[in-house]
Amino acid sequence: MRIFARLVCAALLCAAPVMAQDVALTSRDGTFRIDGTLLGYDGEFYRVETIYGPLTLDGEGVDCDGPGCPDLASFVAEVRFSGTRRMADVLLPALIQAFAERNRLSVLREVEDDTHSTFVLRDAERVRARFTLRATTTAEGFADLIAEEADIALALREPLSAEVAMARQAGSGDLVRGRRARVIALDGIVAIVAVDQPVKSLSMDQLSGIFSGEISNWSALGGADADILAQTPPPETGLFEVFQTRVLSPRGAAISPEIRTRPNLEDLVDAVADDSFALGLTTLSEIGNADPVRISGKCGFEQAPSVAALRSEDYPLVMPLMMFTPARRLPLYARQFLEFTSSPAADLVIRRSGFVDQSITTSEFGAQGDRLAHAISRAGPEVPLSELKRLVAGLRSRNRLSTTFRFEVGTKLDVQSSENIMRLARALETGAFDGKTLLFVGFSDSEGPAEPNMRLARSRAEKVQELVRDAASIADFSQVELTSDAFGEALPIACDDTAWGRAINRRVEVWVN
Amino acid sequence: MSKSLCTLLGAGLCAGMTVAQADTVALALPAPLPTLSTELPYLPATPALMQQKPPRPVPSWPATPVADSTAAQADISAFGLPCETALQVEPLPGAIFAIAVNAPCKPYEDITFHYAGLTFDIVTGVTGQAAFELPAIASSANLESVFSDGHSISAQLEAPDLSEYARVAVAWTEALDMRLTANAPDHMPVSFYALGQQDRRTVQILSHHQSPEARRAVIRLGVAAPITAQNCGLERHAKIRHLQPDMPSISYDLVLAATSCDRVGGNLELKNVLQDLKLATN
Repeated sequence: MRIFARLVCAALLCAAPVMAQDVALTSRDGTFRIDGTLLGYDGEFYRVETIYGPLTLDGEGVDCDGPGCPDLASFVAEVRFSGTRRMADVLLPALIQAFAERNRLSVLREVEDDTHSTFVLRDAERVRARFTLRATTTAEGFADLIAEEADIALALREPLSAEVAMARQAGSGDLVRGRRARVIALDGIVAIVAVDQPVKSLSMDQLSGIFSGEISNWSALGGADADILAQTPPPETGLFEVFQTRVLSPRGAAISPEIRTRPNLEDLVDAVADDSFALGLTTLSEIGNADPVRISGKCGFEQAPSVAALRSEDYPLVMPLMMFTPARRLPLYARQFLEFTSSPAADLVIRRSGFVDQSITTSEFGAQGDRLAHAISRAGPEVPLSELKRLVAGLRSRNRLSTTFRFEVGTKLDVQSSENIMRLARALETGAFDGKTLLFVGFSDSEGPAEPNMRLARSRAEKVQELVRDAASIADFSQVELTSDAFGEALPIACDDTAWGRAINRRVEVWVN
Repeated sequence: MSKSLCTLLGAGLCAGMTVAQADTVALALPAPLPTLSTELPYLPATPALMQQKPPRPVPSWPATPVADSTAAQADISAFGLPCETALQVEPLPGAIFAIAVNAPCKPYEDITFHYAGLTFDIVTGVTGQAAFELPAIASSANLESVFSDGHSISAQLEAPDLSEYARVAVAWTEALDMRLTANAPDHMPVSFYALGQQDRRTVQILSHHQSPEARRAVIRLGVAAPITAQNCGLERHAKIRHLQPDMPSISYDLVLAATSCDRVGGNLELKNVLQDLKLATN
């Protein structure tokens, strides 16, 4: 509704001055001339509203005449960020600071209030860029991006179909296609309890039951006879939206009106840390002085929200922190900033700020002990011991990369895995795996007969290998070998009795030696 | 690593002498001193109060030509101490320094301190002395004290044990009642230090000693101020230093937008402008 109102405004009001024709751009050789209203200048390119529609012209090739022409010598790049507070409060300020230091710019943060800040970046000469930050919700961030009130949206989820449609209607292009989304860092939704609350492990069904009001006493969870004081962030936040989509909706549940909502996540976390019978919903980056709860399955597997489990998406409620960019061109400083956010220097800042970065790390075969023991205990006609022996022989001398690929449906990768393709391809291009072999290993869930599962696992592994090879266009493949294999349902990570458990088990791992 | 520093203004006769030694020298001087009774009328009537809110010394003090000339001739203070100016630094346990300034001939002197990029002002008492504790915010940094006549004395402060501490320093460039606030869990003791005269530039430092067996914890940080008729409508400028074990230190500048004067009597509270102190377990 809100987006629609803004679009109407954009169409009626903002379009009015278009007729003013305040700039004339003439090519240096004088062969053509474009008249129109200047929509923007990013330090390199003019964007002009003309009778042909909006046009972008390279400033190198044209001269500008007219009252609307920008002062080229004093151009300041304006970059507006808007979206989830989870990114705007801590992560973005830290990244902007580090980006400025790296580019030898000094930073002054002008604080309007707790949700609006401007970072003024300057060199010895003058101000070069102003990064404006609005801390709100994911939905507002998308609305600002679509209404061109923001240049970069900060989001905890992908856009809803309504938002995609709005963007298309507003001429903001397709929010889903192309590389409009970048995963900057990872976070996870976690349930937290006070340090002295003995219940430290809950199933997804139990979590759903607590927040829908079906479970209201700790005794139902193996705890003391006391009411559960459950608390969540408000329903309009991205965090809650993701919880709704992944935990409540699949179980046909909805949030109970009895559940207390708190607008400020820090307050929620502090309140839970201080109350033995409270349970709160937050993110791994903001657990304060409370303890995170593990997610358990009936078969005995438990997923703790650790850094490693988030990176490999072995934890079921991973939440990628994303930046969405508009279809139009951004100023040079904005593009450099985006580039910086996926560099190793940014990974360090991300870790320091309490988030999980996506750098590629390795773990030894020995670290899989728990999973192996579980696999052996389940060996039978579907997964014979000979298959497990083949698995051990194939992987024993290798290390597992944190990079893991998961699928939304069929062979469509989820957003974090798409980012992983880029990351792994870049690592290959820089020669990080030269002299080594990367083995893409497909695994499936155990639903249905083993044989088709094995086929599906193999085709996924081959598909991922192909995507990585294609993305690493300048890698030297004479130096590094890519192969694939599959072990079907042999080595589950989570229990197969739930949809989320099966989703975690359908994966392609990468092993290196 | 005990370190003391004494520097003479002007001639620099006794470099390396401590304040205590300077006292001894003063007592040994044989020359007839101006008696205390002749000097006392020039002292403010209520010294304790005046220390809190001293009159502006520059305009009022030159109106005492007799004392000036007497002191200049004898090069000694109203209390019979030599006019040498000294800055004494003594490292204390816990990456803290005891700082003492002795400027016997400069009562109510405005002294500006620059330390690790942060600035604060203090005013000496009637005897020209001032002492305070300064928590280190850099493992090695210069402390410079600048007197109103432009002379300065410096000392290099080395704090090898700083790596065990998490510290956040906020330097306010105007005196507008801003204060650093912290909300720490019970098992995380934090100490606060306020440096500088309340109505001048101040630095506030929060310090937490991170013991090796400490649990993972978060200390929430914020800034707050009462909105008064004096500070409303004014921007607030601050410099922040953020350091904690095993991490590179962070420094940045802040400008807080002016609060509306319609809100006088209320409070300004900002929870998100300072990064919370997140302490990880080892």
